[in-house]
This record gives sequence, structure tokens and C-alpha cells, in this order.
Amino acid sequence: MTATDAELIEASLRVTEKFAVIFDRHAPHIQRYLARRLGQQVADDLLAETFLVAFSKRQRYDSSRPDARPWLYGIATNLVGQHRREEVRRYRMPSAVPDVDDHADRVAADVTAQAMRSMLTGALGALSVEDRDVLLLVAWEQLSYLEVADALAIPVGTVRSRLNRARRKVREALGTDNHTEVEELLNNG
Amino acid sequence: MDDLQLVRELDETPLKSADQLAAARAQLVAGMKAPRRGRAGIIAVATLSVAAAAVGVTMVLPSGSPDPARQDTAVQLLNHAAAAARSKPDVVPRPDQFYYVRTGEREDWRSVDGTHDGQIIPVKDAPPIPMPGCVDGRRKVLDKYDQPTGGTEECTPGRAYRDDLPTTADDMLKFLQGDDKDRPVNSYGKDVLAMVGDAYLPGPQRAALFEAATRVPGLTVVENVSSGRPGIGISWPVPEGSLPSAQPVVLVFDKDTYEYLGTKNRPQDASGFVDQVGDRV
Repeated sequence: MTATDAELIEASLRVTEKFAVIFDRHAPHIQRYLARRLGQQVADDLLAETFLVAFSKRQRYDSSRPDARPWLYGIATNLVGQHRREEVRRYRMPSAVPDVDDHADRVAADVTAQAMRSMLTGALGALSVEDRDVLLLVAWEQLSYLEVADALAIPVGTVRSRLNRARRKVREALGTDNHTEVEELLNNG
Repeated sequence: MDDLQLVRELDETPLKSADQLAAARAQLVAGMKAPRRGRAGIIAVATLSVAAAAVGVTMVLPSGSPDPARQDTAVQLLNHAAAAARSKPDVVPRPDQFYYVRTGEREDWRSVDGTHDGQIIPVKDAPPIPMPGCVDGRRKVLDKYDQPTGGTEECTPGRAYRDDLPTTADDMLKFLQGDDKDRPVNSYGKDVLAMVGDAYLPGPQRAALFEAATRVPGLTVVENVSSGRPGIGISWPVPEGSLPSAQPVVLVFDKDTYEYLGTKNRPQDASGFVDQVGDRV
């Protein structure tokens, strides 16, 4: 079915079942987004919730937007906001330890990359929730500035300024004036 | 590599398959059918706006005890409206025509027999949304930018002229109810909305619909209400748990002719049959 999302949402006002197609189209990405931010278990719990909220708000959907995904990201982001503490705790958790039985060189590289990952996640955890929302929607979900603005109901200028601030903080946390070093670490890791 | 790229590479969570998401989908579908308490209020508000958009009769079970006197008046008014619908001479369009409706800025051109390509202009100057017709059980497939993909899909024609609907209140109620006896009244009320708002019901069908609506408890009459033109309205209680800002839907009828004028907030400004998409009445 290739009606636009907007058409489907409109149709679902009369035939509610049609809204399930919106789920079929976007649930994998929304689930991954939730999982990235809150872990698989919470993501599974919040996925249906996200679409139920969307379902209940669908009469206010802006029908001039054919693609509903930014809107769904916005709703998911609101739900993530209600689990802020869990999210931050997650970023502070140490990730899996690399396999120490590997070749020594490999281990060294892994450990360094691991350290950098920790710094990165630490930096994400330290961001304000508003800045983090914007950064992750851009970096992970690859939304355009306009789509982020739509999703979060904020002006595009605000998207830019939040993104700039978030990126600056990430760079500061990595101590990167030495970009190249970081790059090599990741590539080798 | 910049910091955005670094953040991107931090995470390699895979996309889940439809099978893996089936449980959440089932939860959604269940929630759509039987809204949980608490969410019910929000959905009720949704219904109200739907009513405004689709024009017609949302049926809501009363949350308090209905006033029997006013109830009678609402039934009478709907019966008058039904009688008016029956007595009004009907326009019979050609199958290749379109039913045009203007509601505020929105304009719809819907194929009379459902086999021709119609369109909707949702707001003034917005790009039209095509509505491909259904020919021999197949319909053109459009991509998310409304461009034809070259493919087709299975379909049944969505007729804008509904002389196929039942002509008695009993059959109309049965039609609305479908196979699901436990379906909430509010749910099939929304189908009623779509029927009046998106399609032209000839007199007998429209009359049956109004008569079916008289079976809904909780309807009340609103005096001196306007939908573009002043008229008399029918309303029903805003369901319990709705947002404080929720307004009841009011169906407005002409005081003298009982002709349906639209809802309080969404008058039907114009409607009629035209030869091609883009033509207006």
C-alpha cells in the first residue's frame, strides 16, 4: 500500500485498522531508536506505547507532511524523556569488555577504542536532554534539521544551536583537537 | 571522521523484523479497538475532531443519565431531518463524475463510482493528494511523494455515491454494526461520519442514517447554533475523561427544511457533482 502516511492517518480516523500500516512502516526504526536510547527491554515496552500515543493524537496530525516518521520520533522522544534516568544510567554503564584472549596488539587497540566509547557515552550522558535529543536524532536516526524541528516542535534555528552545543560538548569530552588520533583509534578498533 | 560520525558508530543496534515486533503490533491493535481507561479520554477528543473533519454523527454513549425530555426532542429532530432527506429530490450523477465537497479550505473530489482518479486539497494552495481510482480490482501504487511507482495493488472501488447503502434504519444499524456485536457505539459512529462527510448519500440512505442515529441514547438538541448558516443542532455529552478543552460536536440542520448543514465548527460550504477533478460548484 503506498498511500502516504498522511493519507493513511486520515483514513484511520474512519477505519481505525488502517493505522496498523503506520506501525508496519515505521516500527522497526522507532523500536531501534528506543532501544538505542533505553535498551531493548524498555524499548519493547515503549514501542506499542509510542504508537498508541500517536494513534490517540492522530487527528492533530499535520496532513501536509506525507511522511509520519519524524512525528513518530517526536512522540518516542517524549517517552524517552520520561525515562531520562534510565537512559543516563545506561550511558554510564561500562560496555562489554573486549576479548582478552585475542592477540595482544588487537587487545590493545580494542581497549583503547573501548575507552573512547566510554568517553563518548559519558559525554552523551552529560548532555542536557534537549541537546541529546537533537544530537541523537541527527547522528543515529539521520533526520534532517527540518525533520528534527518537526519531530520536536522547535524552530530549525533551535535545532542548529542545540546540535552545535551538543557536538561541541562531545568534542570537548573527547579532548579532540586531535581528531585524527580518534579516527585511527576507531578504525583500528 | 567528525564527532557526529563517532557518535553514529557508537551504536550498532540492528533493526528488528516484523516477526520480532508482532507482540507490540498486537498490543497496538488491541489498544486501538478497546482504548484503556485514561487513554479513552484522549481518544474521545480525537473522535470529536474527526467529527469536525468528516462532518456527521459521532455516537457516544452518555456518561451521565440523559434527560428524557431533551432526548425525545433530539429524536424528533433527527426524524424530521430523515423525512426531509426522503422528500428531497435526488441528484443522480453519472458514474464518471466526481463528488466535490468544500469544507473550509479543504476540497475533495471523489470518484462517483470509485474507478476514476480523484484528489484532495487539504488546505489552500497545498499540493493535491491524488486518490487513484480502482479499475478491475487494481489501483495505481504511489510512493511517499505521491508519484506513481508503476505498480498496482488490489482494491475495491471507494464509491462517493452511496446508493448501495441500506435504506431502512434497522438495516443501516446492522450495516454499521457489522460482525462485531461488541463494537462500541462510538466506533461505528465514526463510520457514519465518514459516510456523510466523504460521500453523497441519496435521500433514502441519508434518511436511514438519521433514523439509525435516533437509536443512540444521550443525544440532545442545541438551539440557535450556526454552521455557516443558523440552524438547530444535535449534540451529545463529551465523554468522561476528555480534556477540559474538549468541545462537543454539534450537527447542524436548517431550522425549516431540516437540511443538514455540517457541524458547528466545520460547515459544508459547498458540495455537488462535477465532471472532472478541478471543477467546482
